[in-house]
Amino acid sequence: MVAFLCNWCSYAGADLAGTSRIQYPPNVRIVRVPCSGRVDPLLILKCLQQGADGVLVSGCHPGDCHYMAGNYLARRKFALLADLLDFFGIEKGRVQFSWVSAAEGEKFADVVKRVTESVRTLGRPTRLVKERQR
Amino acid sequence: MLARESLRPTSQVAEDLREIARGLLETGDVDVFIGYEEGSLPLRTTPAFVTRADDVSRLVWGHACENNLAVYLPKFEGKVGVVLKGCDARTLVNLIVEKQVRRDRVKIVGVPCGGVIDRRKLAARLAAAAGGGRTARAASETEDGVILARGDGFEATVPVEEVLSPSCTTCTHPVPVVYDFLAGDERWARQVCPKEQAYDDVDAFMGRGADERFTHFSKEIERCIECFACRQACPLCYCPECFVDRETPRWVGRWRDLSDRMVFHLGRALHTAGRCVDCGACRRACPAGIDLRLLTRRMERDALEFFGYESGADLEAVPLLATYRRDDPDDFIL
Ligand code: SF4
Ligand code: SF4
Ligand code: SF4
Repeated sequence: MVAFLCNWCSYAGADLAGTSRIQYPPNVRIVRVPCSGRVDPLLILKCLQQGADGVLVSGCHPGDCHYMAGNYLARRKFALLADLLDFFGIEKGRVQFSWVSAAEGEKFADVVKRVTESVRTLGRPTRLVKERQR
Repeated sequence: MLARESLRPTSQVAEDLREIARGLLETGDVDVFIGYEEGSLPLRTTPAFVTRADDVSRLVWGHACENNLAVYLPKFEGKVGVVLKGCDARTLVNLIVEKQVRRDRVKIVGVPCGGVIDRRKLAARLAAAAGGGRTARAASETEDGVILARGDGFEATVPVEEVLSPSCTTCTHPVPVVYDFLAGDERWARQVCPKEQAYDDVDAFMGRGADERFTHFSKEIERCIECFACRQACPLCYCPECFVDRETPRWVGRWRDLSDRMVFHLGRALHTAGRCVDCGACRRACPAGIDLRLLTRRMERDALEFFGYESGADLEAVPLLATYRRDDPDDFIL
């Protein structure tokens, strides 16, 4: 799975989970981004095309964005993306979103657990995956 | 006898259009007037760019005036007059709020719209009426919205209402929301589809299972030849460099992989979210006859349902994705 984590909150949250030695599934590859608002839906679609089992995007809680409103703007975009993918017939749960602060190492571990479990029940993806990646 | 209100005097609208265009060109209020003129095939029109008052007689009006002429506006430097139907005017509102067109550079000639013909539906109706592989050689429309077609040994009449473009059957704004001049009469606009019903078919489609939905989209998108005519026809696709043309990174591959074509369709839908007004220009431009409305209308519906945002309705609006509210939907986030 690919996890896009914002530099200021969720990435620091993941770091805290690490330094606090909190165990979580090793199934995520983390991509650090400046802000959840930076995550273009096309990046998410690209991950699915390349055969990622799931994609997680995580940013600062509403009100906590380092750039004031990046996560609020991202939230609108992701609400539309999540519904569009569902409407298109991509299994719900392949792409998930969370708010995790720099102080929430526990929550980060918990989110990764939950996402990993739900993606596991979905099994290997086929929809939107490029032919040569199957 | 038809009641007066149900008549759609298309020739009266054309006369109004010519008068308005003549006035605008004579006074120098516009450098060019964009409207419709007869195409080379029956019941087809083509965009007309009129620069001399003496040429306004070229302008026509009817149910075959299908192009969304707002598509030309971001490209023009000078002062432009333009004929816009209800949906077209809403795309212009979006171009203005997105700061692609200056309101004071455009003279909007709105037409209360009676709907446009879906060529594929009409062709199917005429083929059935003609039978035996015969085709219509001539076709015209009457003032009260009936298409008359003739071919070798047959004649057919088809009410426009039965071959309307699907966008028109769910049209919520047949009368332009903004205009400087109105050609014709508001009473000649087609009936308004109530907003609560406009997305019934989209909701019904969502009611099918995910597998069935995915299969539907796969079958549709499989026919896409990546010609991007849908993008060219859309007034809102004005980006100097479209994501499908980007090389680094390459978002949409060129190997005719269905997955790439799906990314194009999903990306297109997302890029029109909160902007598309379902004018239907993309669908009409598609040579493969792909049902392009389903995804874009889902986004239209979501904009309304999630954010209470109606695209192209308000010149003072801030674009949907350029703003936010603290209480926007949050329940999908862990
Ligand atoms: S969608 Fe409405 S305004 Fe647009 S062509 Fe159809 S009836 Fe006219
Ligand atoms: S996406 Fe299609 S229906 Fe929507 S505004 Fe563009 S051309 Fe019109
Ligand atoms: S116009 Fe039709 S065939 Fe061409 S790119 Fe668009 S959807 Fe594909």
